[in-house]
Amino acid sequence: MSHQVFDMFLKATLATLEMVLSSAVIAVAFGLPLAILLTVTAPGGLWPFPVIRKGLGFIIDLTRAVPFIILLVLVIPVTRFLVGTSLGTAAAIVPISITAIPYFARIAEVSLKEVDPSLIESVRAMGGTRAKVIWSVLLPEAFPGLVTGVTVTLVTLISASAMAGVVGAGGLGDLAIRYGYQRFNTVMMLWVVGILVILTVIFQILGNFIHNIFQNKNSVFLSIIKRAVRST
Amino acid sequence: MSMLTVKNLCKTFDGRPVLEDISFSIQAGEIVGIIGRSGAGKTTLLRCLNGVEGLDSGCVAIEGRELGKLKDKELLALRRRIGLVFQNFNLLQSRTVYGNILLALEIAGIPKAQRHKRIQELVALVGLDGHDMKYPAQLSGGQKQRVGIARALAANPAVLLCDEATSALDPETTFSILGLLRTINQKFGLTIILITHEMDVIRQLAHRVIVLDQGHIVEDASKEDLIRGQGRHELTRAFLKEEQKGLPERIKILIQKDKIPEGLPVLKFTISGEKLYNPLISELQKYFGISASILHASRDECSQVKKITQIVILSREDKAAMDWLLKTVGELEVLGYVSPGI
Repeated sequence: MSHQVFDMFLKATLATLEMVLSSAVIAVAFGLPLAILLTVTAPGGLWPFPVIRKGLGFIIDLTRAVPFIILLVLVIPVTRFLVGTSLGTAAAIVPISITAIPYFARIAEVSLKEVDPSLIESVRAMGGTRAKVIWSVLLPEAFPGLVTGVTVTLVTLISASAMAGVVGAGGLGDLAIRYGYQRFNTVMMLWVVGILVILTVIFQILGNFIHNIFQNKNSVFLSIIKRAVRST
Repeated sequence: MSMLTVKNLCKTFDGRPVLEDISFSIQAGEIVGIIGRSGAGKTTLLRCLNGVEGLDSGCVAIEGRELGKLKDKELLALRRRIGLVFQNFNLLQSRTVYGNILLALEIAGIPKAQRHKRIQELVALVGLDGHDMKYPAQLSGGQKQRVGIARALAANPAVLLCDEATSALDPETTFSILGLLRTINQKFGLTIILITHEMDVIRQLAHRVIVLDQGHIVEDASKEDLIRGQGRHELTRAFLKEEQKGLPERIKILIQKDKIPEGLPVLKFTISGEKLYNPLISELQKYFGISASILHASRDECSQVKKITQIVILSREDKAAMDWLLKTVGELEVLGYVSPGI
C-alpha cells in the first residue's frame, strides 16, 4: 500500500471514529435522560405519568421507524441549520445522532427496568427522595447494563456512519463507495470492510471489559480504585 | 412514653377490607412481635406504619406526630426516624458494605465529617469488622442481614421495623441475628417491631405479641401471659402448637390444653449458655417447695450456643415460682395440665 493510500485510510478511519464517538456521546447525553423519564413515568414507577410516557414512547418509536438512509436525506435542512452545511463529517453527526438517541434510549430503558423494584421501594421507604433513588439506586445498579447498551449502540453507529458515506459524509463508508463501488476497486472495498470489522471488535472487547469490571463485584481492580478514591 | 400509637386503623384494597379497626400502642424500648399467617395483613400494617401506604381511616402516630397530617417533605423526614430491616435484605449490589451503610447516612443528611466514624462504629456493632469493603454478592445471608441492620440503625432511628427479617435465614443464623437485635435493644433501648410468621422468633426476642388474623388483632398479650396460657386465642394456640412438633407423642396425648381441677402444670423451658449449670430443679424445691419431675429433656447440639430443653411437671401451680423461672431461664411455656394420677 502506497504512502498516499495509507494516508487516505488513516484520515477516513479518524473521520469515522469522530462521527461514531461524538454521536455516541450525544446519544448518551440525550438518550439516558429520556430512558430515565420513560422508566420513572411507567405505571408503578417513581413518578407514574402515563401521558408523558406514551407521548415520549410514540415519538421515539416514530424516529426509529424511519429507515436510516431516508432519515439521512430527510434531516438535511436541520443539518444545514445546525452545522451550516450538509456535507462532511461534522454534518453527518447530526443524522447519526438523531437515529442514535432513540436507539440508546430504548436500550437503556430495558437496563433501568431490570433494577429490582423492591430496592427502589425500600430506599423510598427509608426516606430517600426521588432524585436520590435515581442517582444512587437506579443508575448505579443499572450501570453494567448501560455499559453494554453503549457498546451495542457504538457498533450500530459504525454501520450507520458507513451508510452516511452515501450523502458525502466522509469516513470509511465514503471511501468504500467512491473507490469500491464507483471505481470497481474491490481491494479497496475489502480493506474498508476489514477496518470496520476491527473497529467493531475493539469496541466490543472494550465494552465487555468495562462491563465485567462493574458486573463482577469480586473485582480486585475495582476495590483498589474505590479504596484509592476514598483515601484521597 | 408512647413511641408508636395506632388508633382504629382501617385499610381496604378495592373495597375488600385488609385491616379493620387496628389499635395498639408501643412504648419506648419495647420489643413487640406481630405474628400472623400470610394474608393476615402484616405487610400492609407495616406499610401503613411507615407511611408508604395511606390509611382509609384511623391514625398512626410516631413519637406523637401523626403520619396522615404530615406534608410530603415531613413524611420523608419522619421515615428517616424509622429503621427498616427487610426479608430480602434489599442491599445495593453496586455498593460495598461501607457504601450501603453510607447510603442511609446520605439519605438522613448526616454531615460528611461524621459519616466515616459512624460507619466504623456500625460495622463493629453488627460484627462485620474487616468486611466493610466487600460487596453483598460476597457475603452470606446472615452477613447481608447484619448489613441491613447496620443500615437501618445508621441514622439513629426511633424505632426499628423488621419485616420477616429472619425468614430467609437458617435456624442457626436466625438465632445469631435475633441475638444481635436483643443486644441492640438492651444497649440503646431501641424500640423494635418484628413482623413474622414464626412463633420461635417471638419467643426468643419479643416482650409482647400481637396476633393478627384476617385484618383483626385477635390477641395482644405480654410474652409472660402468653406463656402462662392466659386468654389464648385459637390462632395463638395454633402458632404455639406448631412449635411442639418435637414433643414425643406419648407425652403429647397426656396434656390437656385447658386447666383441669387439681391439674398439675406441665412446663417446657429452654436453658442456654452459662445458665445451663444452674441447679434449677433443686432451687425450685428450696425456694418454693415445689418438686419438678422431668418428663422429657433434649439437648440441641446444632447451635454453637448449647441449649437444653426440658419438659417438667410441677407438683403445684404457683405464680411466684413461674415468675422466678421465667426470669431465670428466659424461654418458658406452659404446655398444659395433666391430672395428678399419671
